[in-house]
Parts: sequence; C-alpha cells; structure tokens
Amino acid sequence: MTEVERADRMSRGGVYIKALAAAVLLLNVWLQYGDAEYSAAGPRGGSWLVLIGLWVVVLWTGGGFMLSRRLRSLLNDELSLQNRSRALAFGFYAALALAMLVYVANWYVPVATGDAMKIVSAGALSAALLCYAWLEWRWR
Amino acid sequence: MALLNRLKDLRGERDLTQAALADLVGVSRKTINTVENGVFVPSTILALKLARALGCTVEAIFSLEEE
Repeated sequence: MTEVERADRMSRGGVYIKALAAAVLLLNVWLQYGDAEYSAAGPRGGSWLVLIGLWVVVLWTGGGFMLSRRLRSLLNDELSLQNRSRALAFGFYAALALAMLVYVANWYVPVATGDAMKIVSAGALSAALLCYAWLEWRWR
Repeated sequence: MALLNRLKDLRGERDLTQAALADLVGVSRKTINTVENGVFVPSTILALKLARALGCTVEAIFSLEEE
C-alpha cells in the first residue's frame, strides 16, 4: 500500500472518529445536564476541560503527531487545511450562537454556569467536528 | 468567471490514476478528485506541481471560462 492510499484510509477513519466524538460530546451534555458533579470544579469538570482542549488541538493542528512527515503532509494537504479552517470558523459561529441562546434561555429557565459552559463548548466543538467530517467525507 | 480544467483528460492521456498523480505532487487523492471536479481551486504552487507532473503548462490544465 502506497502512502497516498494509507493517507486516504486514515483520512476516512478520521472522519468517522470525529463524527463519533461529536456524538459522544453531545450525548454527554444531554445526559449530564443538571448534574452538579459534572460541572463542578472537581476531577470530572477538569477532565471535561482537558477533553475539550485536546479535541481543539486535534482540530487545529490536524493531529497525527506520531506519523511520518510525509504521511502528515498528505493528511494535512491544502484541501484539508481549507476544510479545517472552514470547520473552525463554523465552530466559532456555533459558539457565538449557542452562547446567545443560553443567555436568552436563562431569562426563562435557570441554567447553571457549568452547564452553560458545557453546552457552549461541546456544542461548538461538535459543530466544528461534524463540519470537518462532512467536508472531508463528501468528496472522498 | 468560472475556472475550467482538463486535469482528468490530461491524467487519463498519461495513464495515471488519481492516487498516482497525488503521489507525484504530494497531496491526497481526495485533493486531485476535488480539483478535477472543480470543487477545489488549487494554489499556484499546486497548479505548478500538477503541470510539472503532467509535463505541460499550467494553462494547458486550467483556463478561464469565456463570458
């Protein structure tokens, strides 16, 4: 198998992993909504922040730090870079929209600070991950 | 003004697969596919690499649609 074929296969695998990660993040927010344990500044809340941070790093850099330089450059070629920047922009606007939504919703229903942060961070990250997965998958 | 390209034809004339051309220019097969389909407009550097790999000029691959 050539490196181009290997990169092709890894790129396809990455699409499914990112889509799955987005689904898990959203499911987690939905299932844990209102549970103070998950939002408190304890091990669970801290782990959540680390998880979000790691996914942002993967999305920002393309990941694959252990791969060879050639494979990494194939996975991060100019089309993927363009897709990534579009996905990050989409995530940014999703964060803005979700933050405004939470702000308005809080006039009518009480939303804990931790829950609000989880909704905005997970929602925006999931939007970015799904956007990237879609852009990469559509012309595979 | 739309960008036209003859990448698929030129690649076919040289019996190159998308993966083989991708290997020659150092991009993913998906990038070659999107350029051929007109979904992705490549950078000048990639256009020059494609021309070099196919042994032709950039103008032989890409052209502007006449209005």
